[in-house]
Amino acid sequence: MDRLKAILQDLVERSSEITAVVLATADGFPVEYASRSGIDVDRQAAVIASLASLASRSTEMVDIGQPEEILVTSQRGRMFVYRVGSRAALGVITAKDITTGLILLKVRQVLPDIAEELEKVLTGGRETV
Amino acid sequence: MGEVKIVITGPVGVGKTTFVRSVSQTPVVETEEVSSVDIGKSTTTVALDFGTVRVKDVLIRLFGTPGQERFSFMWEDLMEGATGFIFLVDSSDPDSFPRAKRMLQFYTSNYDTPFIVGATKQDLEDVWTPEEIAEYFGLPKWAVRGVVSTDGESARSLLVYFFEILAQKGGGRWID
Repeated sequence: MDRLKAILQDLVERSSEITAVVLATADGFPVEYASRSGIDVDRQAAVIASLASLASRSTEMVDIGQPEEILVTSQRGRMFVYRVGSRAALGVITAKDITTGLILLKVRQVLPDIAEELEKVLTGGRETV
Repeated sequence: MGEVKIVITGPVGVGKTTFVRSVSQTPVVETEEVSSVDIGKSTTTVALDFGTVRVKDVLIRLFGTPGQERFSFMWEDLMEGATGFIFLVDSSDPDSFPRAKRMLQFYTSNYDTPFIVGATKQDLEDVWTPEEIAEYFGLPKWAVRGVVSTDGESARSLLVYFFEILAQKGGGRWID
């Protein structure tokens, strides 16, 4: 769990445009998170799981495979959601004025590590933050 | 009436996804994900179920909700524009009744939308009867009807019953 926290914190600390990252189980429980300010991690985890699941169903229906990245652009920021295997999803909240490709690159670099650490957490029993 | 939206809701494990799946005449959209905690089944709905069914000349768009409270934002979103809702209660699991009662209160205190209660799993032995469930929930007897969600005909007859009452009573709050 400490390693997972470190990976997420590092992602936030090294990228000033990232304001928060939340790792949620596919059924909407928070596993770990890192944030520059307060975040309702329980509700955010549930929403991220819903988004990830809906995106998968949407892309399956039009036969374009599994989503690699879900992007929500809103008035004052962006939210990216990535599936981490079939059992979790990662939400990344950023400032609005960012280079989206760069975020994707940064997240892609750490996704395998997150998946590996998550496997340990899920097989060792779920812990919540 | 043309087209209506009906929400299928109730606590986790009551058979909402099964209900939508067995009554829908079109392929169902499901958002079942692996459950990371023991909820008595391996997967759980995290966003919605969607299916359609035609009853007489009405096209019913069925929206099933997640049952777990952390997805309550979906309860609100899915009720938007709903003509009515069917609240499912597990007749075989009285331990779930207090939670079901609180969830039903969430709906009745926030919406004036017509509803009935479907008492599910009536095919099992030693289950509460619809009358007993009506009494527990403080509802009139006509508002609770037995159903077997796995049986398409049974699920359909619950929808038909709901529309019969809707035709009699019209929209708005039915039960005080």
